[in-house]
Amino acid sequence: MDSVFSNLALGFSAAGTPTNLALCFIGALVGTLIGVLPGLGPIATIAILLPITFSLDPLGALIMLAGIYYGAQYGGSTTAILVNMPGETSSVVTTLDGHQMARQGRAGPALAIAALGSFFAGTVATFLVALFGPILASFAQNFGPPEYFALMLTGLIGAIVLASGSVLKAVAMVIVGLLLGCVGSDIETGEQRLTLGIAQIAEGINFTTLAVGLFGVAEILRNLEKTQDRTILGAKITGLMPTWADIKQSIMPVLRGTGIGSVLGILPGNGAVLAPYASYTLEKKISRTPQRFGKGAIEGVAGPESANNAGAQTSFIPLLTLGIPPNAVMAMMVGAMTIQGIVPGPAVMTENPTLFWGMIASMWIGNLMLVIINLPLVGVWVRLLKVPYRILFPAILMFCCIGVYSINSSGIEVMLVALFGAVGYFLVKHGFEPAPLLLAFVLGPLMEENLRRSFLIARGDPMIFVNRPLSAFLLLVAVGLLILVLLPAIRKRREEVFHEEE
Amino acid sequence: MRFSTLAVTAFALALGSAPALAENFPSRPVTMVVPFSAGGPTDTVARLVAQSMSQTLGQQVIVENVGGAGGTIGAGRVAKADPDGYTILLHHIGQATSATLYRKLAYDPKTDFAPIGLVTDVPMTIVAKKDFPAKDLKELVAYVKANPDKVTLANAGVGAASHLCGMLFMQALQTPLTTVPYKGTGPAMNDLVGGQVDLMCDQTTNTTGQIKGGAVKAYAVTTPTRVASLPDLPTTREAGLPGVEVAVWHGLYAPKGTPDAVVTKLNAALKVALKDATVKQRFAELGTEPVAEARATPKALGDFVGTEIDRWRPLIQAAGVYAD
Amino acid sequence: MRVRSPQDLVGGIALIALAALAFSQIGDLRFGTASRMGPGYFPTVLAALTGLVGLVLAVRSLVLDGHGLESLNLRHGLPLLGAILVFGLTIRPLGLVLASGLLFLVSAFASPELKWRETLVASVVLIGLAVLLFVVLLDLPFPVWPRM
Repeated sequence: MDSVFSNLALGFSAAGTPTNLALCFIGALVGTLIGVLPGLGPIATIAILLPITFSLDPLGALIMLAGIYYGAQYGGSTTAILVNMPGETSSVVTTLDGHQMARQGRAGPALAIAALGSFFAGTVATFLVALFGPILASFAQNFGPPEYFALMLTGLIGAIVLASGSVLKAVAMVIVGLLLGCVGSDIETGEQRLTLGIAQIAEGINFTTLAVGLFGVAEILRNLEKTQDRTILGAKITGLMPTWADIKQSIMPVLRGTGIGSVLGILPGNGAVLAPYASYTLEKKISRTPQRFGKGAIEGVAGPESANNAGAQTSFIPLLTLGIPPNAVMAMMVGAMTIQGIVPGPAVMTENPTLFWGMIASMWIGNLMLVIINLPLVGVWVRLLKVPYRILFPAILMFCCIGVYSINSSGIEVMLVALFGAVGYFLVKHGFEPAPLLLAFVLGPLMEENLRRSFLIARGDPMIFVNRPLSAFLLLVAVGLLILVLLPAIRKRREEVFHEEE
Repeated sequence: MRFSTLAVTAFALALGSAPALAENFPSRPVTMVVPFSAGGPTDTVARLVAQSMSQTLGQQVIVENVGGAGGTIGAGRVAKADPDGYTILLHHIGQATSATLYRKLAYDPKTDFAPIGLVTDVPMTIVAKKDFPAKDLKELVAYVKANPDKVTLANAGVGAASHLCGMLFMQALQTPLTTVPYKGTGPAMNDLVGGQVDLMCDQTTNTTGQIKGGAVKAYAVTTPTRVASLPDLPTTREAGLPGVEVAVWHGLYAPKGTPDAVVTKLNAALKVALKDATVKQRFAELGTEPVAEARATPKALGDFVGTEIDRWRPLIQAAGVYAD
Repeated sequence: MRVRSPQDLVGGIALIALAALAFSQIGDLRFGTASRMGPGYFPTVLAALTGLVGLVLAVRSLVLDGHGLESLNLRHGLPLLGAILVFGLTIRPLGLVLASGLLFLVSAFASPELKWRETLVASVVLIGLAVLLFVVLLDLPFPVWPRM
């Protein structure tokens, strides 16, 4: 315990130098700004900004990038709430109730609760990282391919439970997402699968391209159809601060979200992605008024946003203690460290304690700064909505195109956005929800890989999934969830709950 | 693309001759294409070299990441770029293996480029999960030969350095093992550290930290000489497995038809970069070092690409894995 | 026979079409067995499931009442998608400024109320901003103008 505090003190003194504070601030601000731009999530943002960090010292570079990461997530939630466009998978859930709140003129409280919940979760998670980092990392290490597979399966069935509207259509979206995830080269033989001969997707469809098309472009199209909705939305916003009732309603979801996010974030294999979904499902399950969800329930913003941020923080644990990036953003951080000549791994903690603890301390500082940046600036984001849509939409479109182009300097990648935009619009018009598709798209390849890998390691023996207690437990959870969806009584109630949001 | 080719031709005609262009080279920023995404080991090497070359050339050398299809998209773009030296390619061993791995390659790695020079050789290490029974490489070989059905060998995907080294290892032992593929080194190392798989052969860039931290057991390094960052680790030759020698070499290329004078200028800037103290230090931290000056030449790289294509072709064909 | 849920019928047919497209691409990918899956295993199973769900959805649309079709908004949709395609096609030869200019030009036709002067001013300001942000501040390797 003492050592934790002395370590944190070392970290705070390293992160607290004027230069590093400035870098943290710039990172958080730039991250928020770019995160607010629809279609540019943290992955694209950090990829774009990676080259700049080259000229900084290692700690400063990592502090700034980490700041961009949280900042972009805050900004991403802001767009999710205001424009119904998630910057990344993690903010997909926030669109469900956050955007509904905004439509009811409660964008201010939604944004404030998202920021405060995230700050609380960030604070707790920072201490968790410091306290349990090394211990928890060794636990997550027990996750092998069978456990991953079971975890992914649980996540996908959860996505079906969580989807609104027809179960059959949600199942269809998950399957289509998995199918899209198959596109690219086969992991074992390298053979091309379902690529239609397009070289740009020979290594799979790019997440950003798909997300920008399915969510960004399709949303612009929908907005163009009913511009009057937007003027109503702009005019109604009054109080920015949440009421006391809002806060009281949010406390427990924030606490639960923080817990869920912290645990899931540690799992290598991008458990953090599941955190907001898990939190949303939980909040809805235990709510006495589940019918409010999807229609602007503040718990549906508070819980997932806290879970999201807690997961974002604790996902640094595998990176910092093992050198293993649990998700794409952390892979970028590995890149940043390597550029700086640091080999990420267990040695960082012992050989470079200033860097390790400095980064952890900067996480908390960054979160504090984000609240300070975001709450007063909420007005600016809201004002962004008062810009006439005929000016806003080409601007959004341009940033989407530039953002996608910057991933691989490829014009064809940009053209794929148009294709996915058309698909997204078709889906919405026919009562399909694209969120489960996107999650399945992310999890699908991991699921297939880990399933095939499990069989390879077990030499074809399917008992590997039940003989390992963790895997068996997770599979039981998945089966339980499945029964939950399929039980006629529950299914009826569920369809009533979701019937009919629009 | 065609627009700019036309423009270049028109410009060259207007000036009367190509050497005039070469004399002023470079009069605008040079784009160094890295055929992988930002942040990877190859990207790091490129950025270090590009920074030094910018100073020497007096024009910025901008790194552009054109990832996808195992590096063949970016390489293809440079192969078809204007041969004026303003678009160059930094690629690793994949430049040679792609000739066999991709049966429908839109360019010829051997003839469509004007080689500038070799940059660096990143050594590889043979590592195992930390409770693997073998004590040294001899025991490892004996154990693997005795238990071919038990041992699993991880790699980071078709065409990855770890995949190539793994093939070499199995060939040297004449023992096929169950290979477990991953997408990238990160998850593969994760499962090796977690003890889910037994063996892997990977670049020092990825393994040094884990070896020093005691998370994995190291048996040998795959270069003719020991590496400075892991001085206690014997080479495969010393440890009795001389057939397994492989390094992830990196080379710098311009498109075919680039004027010799331009290539010479680029090569001179590369040589300066390889002597740069910062570059050397950063390379050392990555567990590698710049190649000797004699190898940082167009001829050395051109010959080497040919040798490497011939070396890997039978291995890849025997394994029967293709990436197209 | 009466179609009771046209929306589901179209959705189901689209899924079946997607399944057909996937099947046409699977070609000679090896299927393998459950315990030793080939590269074709997942795509085949998923394509079959996609087709199956599509079929169920289509058949169900004849039995269960559901939503009618909403009209597709081509008036806005075509210029919007066209603008993205134009940007993708022109960014490399023409550079950021001209490609963005074309994007604004084409997408203006999707605008609910077209005001040319306003569009012009907005596009000049926004393109300037984009160049400042991405090229000057972030130093990204974008072609800004046509080369040469």
